[in-house]
Amino acid sequence: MLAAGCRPREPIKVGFVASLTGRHYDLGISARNGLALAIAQINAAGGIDGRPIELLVRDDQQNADAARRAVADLIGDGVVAIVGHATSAMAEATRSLADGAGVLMLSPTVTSSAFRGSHPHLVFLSPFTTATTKVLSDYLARQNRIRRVTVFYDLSNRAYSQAWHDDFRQQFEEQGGRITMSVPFTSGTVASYAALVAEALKTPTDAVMVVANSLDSATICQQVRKIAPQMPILGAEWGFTHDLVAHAGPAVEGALFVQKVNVDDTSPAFQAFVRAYRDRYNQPVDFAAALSYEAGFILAEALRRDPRRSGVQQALLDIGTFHGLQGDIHIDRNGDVARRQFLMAVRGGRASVVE
Amino acid sequence: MRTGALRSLRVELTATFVAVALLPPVLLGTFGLHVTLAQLRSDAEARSQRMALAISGEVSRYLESHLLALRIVELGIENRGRALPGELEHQVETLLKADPAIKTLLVLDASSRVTHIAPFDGDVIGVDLSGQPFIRDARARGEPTWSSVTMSMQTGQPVVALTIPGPRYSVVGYLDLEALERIVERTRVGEVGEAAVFDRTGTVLAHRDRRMVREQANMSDLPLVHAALQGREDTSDYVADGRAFLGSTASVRPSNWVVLASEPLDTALAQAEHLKLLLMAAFGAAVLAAIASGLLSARRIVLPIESLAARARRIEEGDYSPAPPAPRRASFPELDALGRGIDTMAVAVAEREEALGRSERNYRSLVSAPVVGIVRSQLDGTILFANPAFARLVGAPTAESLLGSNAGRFYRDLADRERLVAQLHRSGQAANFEVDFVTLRNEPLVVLLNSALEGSTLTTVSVDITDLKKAARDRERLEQQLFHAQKLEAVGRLAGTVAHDFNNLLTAILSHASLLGSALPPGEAREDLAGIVDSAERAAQLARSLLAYGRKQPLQKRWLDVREVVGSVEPLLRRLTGETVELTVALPETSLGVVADAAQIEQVLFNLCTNARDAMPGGGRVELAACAAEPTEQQAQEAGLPPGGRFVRIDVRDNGEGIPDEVRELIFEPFFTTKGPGKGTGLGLSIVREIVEQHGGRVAVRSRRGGGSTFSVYLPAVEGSPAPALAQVAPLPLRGGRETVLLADDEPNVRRALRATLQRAGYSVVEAVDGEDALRKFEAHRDEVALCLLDVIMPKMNGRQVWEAIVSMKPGTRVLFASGYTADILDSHGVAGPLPAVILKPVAPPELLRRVRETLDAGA
Repeated sequence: MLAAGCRPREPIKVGFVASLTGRHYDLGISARNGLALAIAQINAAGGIDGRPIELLVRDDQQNADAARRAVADLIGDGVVAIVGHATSAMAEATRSLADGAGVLMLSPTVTSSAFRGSHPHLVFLSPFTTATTKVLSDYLARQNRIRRVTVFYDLSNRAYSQAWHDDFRQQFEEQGGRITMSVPFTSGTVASYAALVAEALKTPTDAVMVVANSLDSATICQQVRKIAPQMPILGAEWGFTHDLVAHAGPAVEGALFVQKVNVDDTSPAFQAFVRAYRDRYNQPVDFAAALSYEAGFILAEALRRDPRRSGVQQALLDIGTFHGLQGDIHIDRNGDVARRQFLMAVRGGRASVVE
Repeated sequence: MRTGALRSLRVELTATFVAVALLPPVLLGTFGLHVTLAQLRSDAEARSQRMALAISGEVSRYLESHLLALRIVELGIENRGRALPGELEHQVETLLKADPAIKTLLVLDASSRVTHIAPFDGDVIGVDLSGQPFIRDARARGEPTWSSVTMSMQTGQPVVALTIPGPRYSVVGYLDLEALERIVERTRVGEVGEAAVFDRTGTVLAHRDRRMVREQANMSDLPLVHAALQGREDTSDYVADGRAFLGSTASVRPSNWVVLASEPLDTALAQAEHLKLLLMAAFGAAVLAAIASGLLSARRIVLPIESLAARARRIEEGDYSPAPPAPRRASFPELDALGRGIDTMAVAVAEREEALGRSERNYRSLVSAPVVGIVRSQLDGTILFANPAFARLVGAPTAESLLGSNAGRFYRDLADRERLVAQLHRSGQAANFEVDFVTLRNEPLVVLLNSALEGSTLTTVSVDITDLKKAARDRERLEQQLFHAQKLEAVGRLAGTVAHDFNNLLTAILSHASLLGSALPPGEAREDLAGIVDSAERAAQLARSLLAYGRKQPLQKRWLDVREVVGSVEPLLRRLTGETVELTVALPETSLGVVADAAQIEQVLFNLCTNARDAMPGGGRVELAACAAEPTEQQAQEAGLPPGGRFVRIDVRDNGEGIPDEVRELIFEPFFTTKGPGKGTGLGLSIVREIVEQHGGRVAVRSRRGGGSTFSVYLPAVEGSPAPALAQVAPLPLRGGRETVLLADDEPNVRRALRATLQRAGYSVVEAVDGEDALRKFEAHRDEVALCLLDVIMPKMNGRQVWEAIVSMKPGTRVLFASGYTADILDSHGVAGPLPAVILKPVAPPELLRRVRETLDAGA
């Protein structure tokens, strides 16, 4: 007790795991950057009752084995909670480890509705795909121009993309729409996207939907544009990062997608975050960075109540409601989240809110 | 305490010496070290800087070489226009082979659509890349532009892209980062230093930790990198992963990237560290040497000081003897002087201590002397200090027992204390306050207080003057007694003088009456005359008593019967005791012979009876008894008599109040009296004792309170018979004669009576009226005169002078002196010396004739 006042307080270890390399890099790197910024700010303000947070970063390489090794490492290192993964597939791969160790896994971007009802140690900061696809299908129903959709979806993140595909189809078809073709593929294994797209577009459709990472989304959109320059494009939030626009350029102009974060938001709170992020990384924010930044503060709030691995999840659920960058975030007892979502479109090379 | 102070002196001196010894090397060393370290650091920084610049140069050359290659491609495309497709592909393939760092090469048309790609990828042909920021930048700037790290759409690996914009075509080459990493790996900054390359966002392009490259770590939070990204190249320390580094940054001009060359601070400054260690070692050695020399020097100074301290300690413990001489080498002249000073001081201290001791003893003896009580108290009376004398004064067991009690309790009247305090408030002191005290044993005291007030404390000196006051009262009484005695003496003189005149008259009366009686025939007239003689004789008795009362009776011890003495004074005693006191006299049948002066014994009786009367102011009974006594052993012891003697005892007993025990011892003291002024001299009983003891006797007293007192006078009993001449009043057959008698007396009545008596008896008488006349008459009748009958006190010449003149004229002339005065009165008239024969007046004719005949016959 006496010595405690004389040496630096023992840090609280928090893990981060996501895909930082390979074709799925961008969500992971943004999420890591957002979280690191949040923790730097929390530590600068005194940490958790004087104890700093130490961030341990691991790369899951969008590979189940690598993901399990990474999470096992973090648990072994004594983290009290893990922020991650970036994709639902990885979360699916390591959930049993988290459950076994009783470690809270707080995921900013995992949304697969496949997790609904059975995720004891998973807490989400994004609503399930069901809610997201509904925004899109409702919009399409209201517009009533697009009745047929061809869906490309990446099986390397099947937990997500399949859920998205299925949820969308159910809602779209309930509203009278129809998936004319489902085109599953696996990222990194496609010999020619041009051939894949050309084959798919042989079936008439009113729009193309891409559920993939940003690189694959960009590539598919570019191939679509080569064949059908006017084809409307619909996207999932997964691939619609700022890199998508850079890579795809005019190919994604006019594309519609649903996002949890409005990166054009001019509110002071969000702009402060934008400035801090740019100062630190010389890059613009994206939704993964913002969600992960929020995750850092949410976790800190829970840690202030109980900094133990065994208690932080209960503390977080007890708090329930948090002030996010763009409105309140409500987390229910099951760890499911409710928050605002934005329907967005790419206009002039930038994503902007449609509704 | 003392040793601690000495130790600290030693430490102090040592520290001072060490400090003095070390200061120059420390200053020089510190300065030298500072300069050297600064130089070494400057060297390290320069090395680091050079290294950063070298790496930056290498990276620049690497980039420039690719730039050149791509520019050649671009120029070729522009110049040839739409050359044969195969030709361009060939050229591009050749370039990729020549420059393996370029992984992918794109040719874009004016709308940024891909027209060529090598290695060939049909998917990419026709793709619009106008969304890529670096392509937009390059086109906007119109010059070759390097991208930040980006992802290769083909490989999914981080790459950098170089875009050469041209009027119609642009060429984009994607370079993987391995080449940069190889540059970095080849580089060694110092022994273990390293280099890193960052793009314009601070994202790592090349680092020995490849993970950082793959995961696109961003290090713009490192101030050195941050500054360099802002265009400020710098060299400074920084901390990464808990380790300190010295780093330098340099810009890579073509791409605005940043190179960081760094090495751990400890290795960068290893030389400085070595130098520091060396200097520290040298400094340590210097410190040790300085401490050793400091200790030695301090010891050399401290040892004599310690010896002085020991000396001072001895003085403190009371040893004032001079110190032993210090060893020569261990001392300093100053310390020697100090030692001598201490010795001198010791002597002075010893003297002062002795003086102080004396003073202290004086003070102590003053304070604890059983003479004056000293008290210090508060104004309210609370006692702060009292000395033993005060405790004794007020009857306290100890002085300490008085502390805290209130001094006011000793004042009989508290108003006295208030007066004292008021006086102290007025003038600060109070002198000779006479106050009545009451002791704790409730005894009264008279105390003289002298008091002084200091602040709220008063110091009071108390002297018990109870005895003084009593003595003063006694003296007053004595003075009164003396006055009384003088008065009595005057009365005595008067009485003596009156008695003398009275005696002369009685002599004349008795003589004439006797002569007349012998001339008258027996019958009624003769009885009347006998009445006259009887009355005259009683008058003579009264005169004697008067003389006795005045104690002017000449001492004439002879055998006498106490019964007669008692009988002779009984009438006077009855008059003396008065009518309220009944006097009874009890005498035995047998004589009580003693050898004594009757007058003295009479005075004894007189005094004892006066005393008895005075003991019974309301009246009572006095019993006078005399008897022969052979006291028991106890009685003898009580009275102080020799055992086994025979005594005549005279008891005078009254039934008065008795004598209090406490004064029984005092009653025989001169001037002790219990009577009021004018009622007695206080000499009565003392005269009694003196007279009795002059007669070899003792006086004893028995008394009990309320039961009266009995004074017993013991006189040694003597067998014998009375002198034949005493008090023969009855006419005896007298022998006369034919001789001539010179009769000198200045009283005509006496002279005539004596002449008649002598002439009737046949004598011839020559009369003289004074001393001178007697001398003339003797001269005229010197042959006839056989006897001179001379009055002792006469005008012009007294009897003795006359007699001396006569004896010188006719030695052997017989003389008989007649006197009415006592011996002391004769003395005072110049009639000194014993007279051969004296007849006391008044003298009855038979007595006169007998003495005349005896004197004449004695010479025959």
